[in-house]
Amino acid sequence: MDLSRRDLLALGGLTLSGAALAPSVGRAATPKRGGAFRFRGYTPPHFDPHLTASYTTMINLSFTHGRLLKHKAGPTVKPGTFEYEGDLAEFFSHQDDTTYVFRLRKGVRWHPKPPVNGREMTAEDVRYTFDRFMTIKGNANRHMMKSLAKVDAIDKYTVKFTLSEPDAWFLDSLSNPMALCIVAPEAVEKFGDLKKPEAVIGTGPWMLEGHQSKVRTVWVRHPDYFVKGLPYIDRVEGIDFPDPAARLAAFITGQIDAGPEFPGMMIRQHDFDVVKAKRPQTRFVRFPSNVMTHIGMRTDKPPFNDIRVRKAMSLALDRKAISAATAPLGVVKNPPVPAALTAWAIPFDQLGEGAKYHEPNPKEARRLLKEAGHGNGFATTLDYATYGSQELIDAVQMAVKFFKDVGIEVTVNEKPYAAYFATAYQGKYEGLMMGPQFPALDPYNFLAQYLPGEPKNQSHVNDPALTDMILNSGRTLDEKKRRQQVWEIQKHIAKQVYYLRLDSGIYYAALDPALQEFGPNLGYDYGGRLMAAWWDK
Amino acid sequence: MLRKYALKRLLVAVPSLLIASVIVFSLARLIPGDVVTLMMEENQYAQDLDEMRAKLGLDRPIYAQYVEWMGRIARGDLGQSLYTGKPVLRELAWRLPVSLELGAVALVFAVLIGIPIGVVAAVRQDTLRDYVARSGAILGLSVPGFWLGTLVVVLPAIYFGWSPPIEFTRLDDDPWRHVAQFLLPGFLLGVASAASIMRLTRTQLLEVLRQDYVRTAWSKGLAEPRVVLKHSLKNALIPVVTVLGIQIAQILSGTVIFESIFGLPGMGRFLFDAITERDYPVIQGINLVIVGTIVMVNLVVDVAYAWLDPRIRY
Repeated sequence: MDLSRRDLLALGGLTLSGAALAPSVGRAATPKRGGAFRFRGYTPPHFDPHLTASYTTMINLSFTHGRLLKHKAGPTVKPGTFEYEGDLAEFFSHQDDTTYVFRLRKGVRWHPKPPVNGREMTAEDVRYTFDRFMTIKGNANRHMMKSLAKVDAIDKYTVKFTLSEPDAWFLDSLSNPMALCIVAPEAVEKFGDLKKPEAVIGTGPWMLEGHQSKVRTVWVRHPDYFVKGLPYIDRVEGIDFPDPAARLAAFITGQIDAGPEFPGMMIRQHDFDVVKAKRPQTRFVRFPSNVMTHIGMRTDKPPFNDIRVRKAMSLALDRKAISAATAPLGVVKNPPVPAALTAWAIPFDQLGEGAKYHEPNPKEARRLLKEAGHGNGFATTLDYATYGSQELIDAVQMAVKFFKDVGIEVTVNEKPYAAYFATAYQGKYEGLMMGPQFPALDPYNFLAQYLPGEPKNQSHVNDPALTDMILNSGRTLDEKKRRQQVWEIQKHIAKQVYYLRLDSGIYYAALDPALQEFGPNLGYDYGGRLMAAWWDK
Repeated sequence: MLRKYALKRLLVAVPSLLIASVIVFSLARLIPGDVVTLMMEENQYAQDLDEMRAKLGLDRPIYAQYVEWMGRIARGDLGQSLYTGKPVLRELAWRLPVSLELGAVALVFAVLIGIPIGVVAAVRQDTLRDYVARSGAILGLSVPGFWLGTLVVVLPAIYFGWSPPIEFTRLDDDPWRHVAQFLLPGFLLGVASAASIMRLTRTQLLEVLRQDYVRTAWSKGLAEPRVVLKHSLKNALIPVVTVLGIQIAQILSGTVIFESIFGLPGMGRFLFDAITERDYPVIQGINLVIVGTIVMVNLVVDVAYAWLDPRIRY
C-alpha cells in the first residue's frame, strides 16, 4: 500500500520551526503521579556517552541526563518532526554566524548521588562536558561537533560556543539525543570514566537505581528535577528481551507497556494482527520509518559511472512489488532525504525529473542500457548483510530478479554483518551494495552520503556541483532558505541517480491506552518522550 | 593402577588445552569484520579507527597479543571485554552459574527421560511401547530446539494470554521463581539429549540382556526388575556414561539458543553477543572455559569408565 502525500502529511505532519526554549509539559488537566512504566530495555556496552557510538547507551542515558536543547515531545508532536526546545538552557542568543551564547536554567540539580550529591549544575559543567567530548580518545561521535572550536564558561549560568565556521546543523546536533548530554566532572574524576552504572549521575528526570547486564535496568524518579512536578511516573523498568518472539509474547501478555521493537516502541508489521486481536485496547500510532534501504553503486567505475546505466538500474526496479512483499501494511516513497523527516524531505511529487526513475519501466531500462553499450546486459556483484531480516533478504532477491529481467546478471555476496560493515558499508565493494542506512534525525547525515571523503559515501559520489550545494546549505543559517536548498539538492541527486532508494515501511507504535501524554517518535530519546507521561489507571 | 591411568590422562589434557588456546585465539580473529569497525558503527573516520585500535592494543602483532594473553591466563586473568571494559573473569563468574544451572536441569531431564524409556523400549522390544519410544526419540532428535522454544513461548501467549517466565529472576530475589524459570528451557534442552540417551540405553541393554549371565539370572527365577535393573542395567550404562560426557558439551552449546529465548543471562548468550561484536577477549575466555570444561568432563568420564569396567586399561 502506497501512501499519498495527504496520507504522509497526516502521518508525519510538517514541522514548525521555532526557537522558543520553554520545556513542553503535559497538557492534560489532571495528571496523576505514580506507577511504573515497563518497556523492552537495552543493555549498553557501558554508560560513557563519549566512548561509544552505541544507541543502547544513549537510550539509557535519555532517562538520566539532560542536554542543552532537546526535541519537543508529547502526543501533539507529529512523529518525524524534531523541533528543539530548551532543556538545561533556557535561552540562547546567536551573536554572529559562529558564536552561540546559552543561558542556563538556575536551580538545575544533579542527582543526589555521591560524589556529586545533588549540587547545582553550572556553566563549568557544560564546558567540561564539551572539552571531554572533543578531546577524549575513541569518541566515535566527535564528528557531530566538527565545527566546534571552543566552549567558554562566561559566568555560572552562561556558556559561549565558538565555531570554526558557520554550521547550520549545530543546534540540531546539540538537541540530538546522541552523546551530547551534560556529564558531571566529579563522576569522571571518581570513577576514571563514565562506564560504570555508579557513574550514571545526570540532571535528568530519572535516576539509575540498578542495572543487571542482559536482564534489566531500573530508574527511579529524580526528586529534585528542575521541572516542578515532573516526571509523573515514579519508576521505569527496561527489560532486556533478546528474542523477538519472547518480546512479542511479553507485550501480548502485558508484561511490558509498549511495543518492544526499536526505535519508537513499535511492533513489527507482521505482528500487527496478532497484537490487535490479543491486546485489543492497544493504542496504535502510525508513522513512516526513517530507515531507508538503498542500493549503492560504484559510480567511480564502469559501468556505473555512466548515468544511463544508473537510470536503467533504477527503472528496472519494481519498488511497489518489493514493498508489497516486505511491508504489506504500508510504505512511503523516499526522496534522497527519507520521507519520514517531513521537515526536510522534498515532497515526492515535487522531486521533478528524478521522480520518474522511481517507477518501473523495464522497456526504457533496456533502451538506456543499449544506448550505453550494454545491449547484451552485463554482470556485476551485490554485497549485503541480512541484518537478521527476512524482509531484507526478500528485497535483495527481488531486486536481483528485476535486474535480471533487463539483462543485468547480479551475483549476490551475502556477508556476515561485521564483514559487511567493515567493507561494503564503507564503500569497499566491486559493483553494488545494498542495505539499510543509519536512521538519522537530521538531513545532513543523509546528504553526507554524497560528499567525497565521507565514510558514508558508499556510491563514491564525486560531484563538485553537488558538494558545493551541500556545503553551502550547511552554512545557511536561515532555516527557510536552507530548506529550499535541501530540496534543490534532492532534486539534483534524484536526477543523477547516485543510489537506488527503496521505500520505507510504516512504523506501528503500540502503547498501553492508559499511558497519557505520551507520543512516540523516531530516535533514541525514550526518556525525553516519557518525561511528561502519566498513568490513567 | 587407576591412579596411574588418571595421571596419564591428565598429562594428555595439558597439550590439548594449549592447542585449544592457539585455536581459540586465532579463530576469533579470523572471523570477518573488525571489532573497532563495529564499535564505531557508521562513524568510520579513519583517524578515529586507528586511535581506537591503538587504545585497545589491537595495533600490535598478533603473536605479541597471544603471548600477552597467555601470560594473563597464567596469572588467572582472562583479560577485559573490549566493549564494556569489564574483566571477563568477573563477567563469567556470574554468568557461568546460570548456564551450569540450565545445563544441570537439562541433564537431569535427559537422564530421567532417556534412561527409563530406553529400558522400557529394550525390555518390551518390538512392542507398541518400543515403537512409540523410538519414534519419540527420532522426533526429539530432529525437532530444532529454537523452533520448539519459540513455540512454547509464543503459542500460550497467543491462545491463553500467558507466557512462561521470560524475565530473569535471581535466586536471592525469589528462590522458587528462580528455579522455576529453568524448568521449561531445561526440559526442552534436555529432550534432544534424552533421545540420544534413550536410543543408546535401549541398544546396550538389548545386548546385555542376551548375555549368558543374564540368561542364568532368569533361569534362577529372579524377578524381572532384579534381572533388568540390578544385573543388566549397570553394565548397559557404561557406554551411556561416555555419551553423557559428549551430551554435556552438546547441552552447553544448546544453552546459546535457550538463554536468548528465555531471557537467561548465561554464558551462551554472552558468547553469542561477543561473537556478534567481535569482542575477542570474551570469545577467547568463554571458549577456553568451555574447552577446559569439556576436557575435564572427558577426563572424568574416562576415569569413571575405567572404574566402572575394570577390564579397561589403556
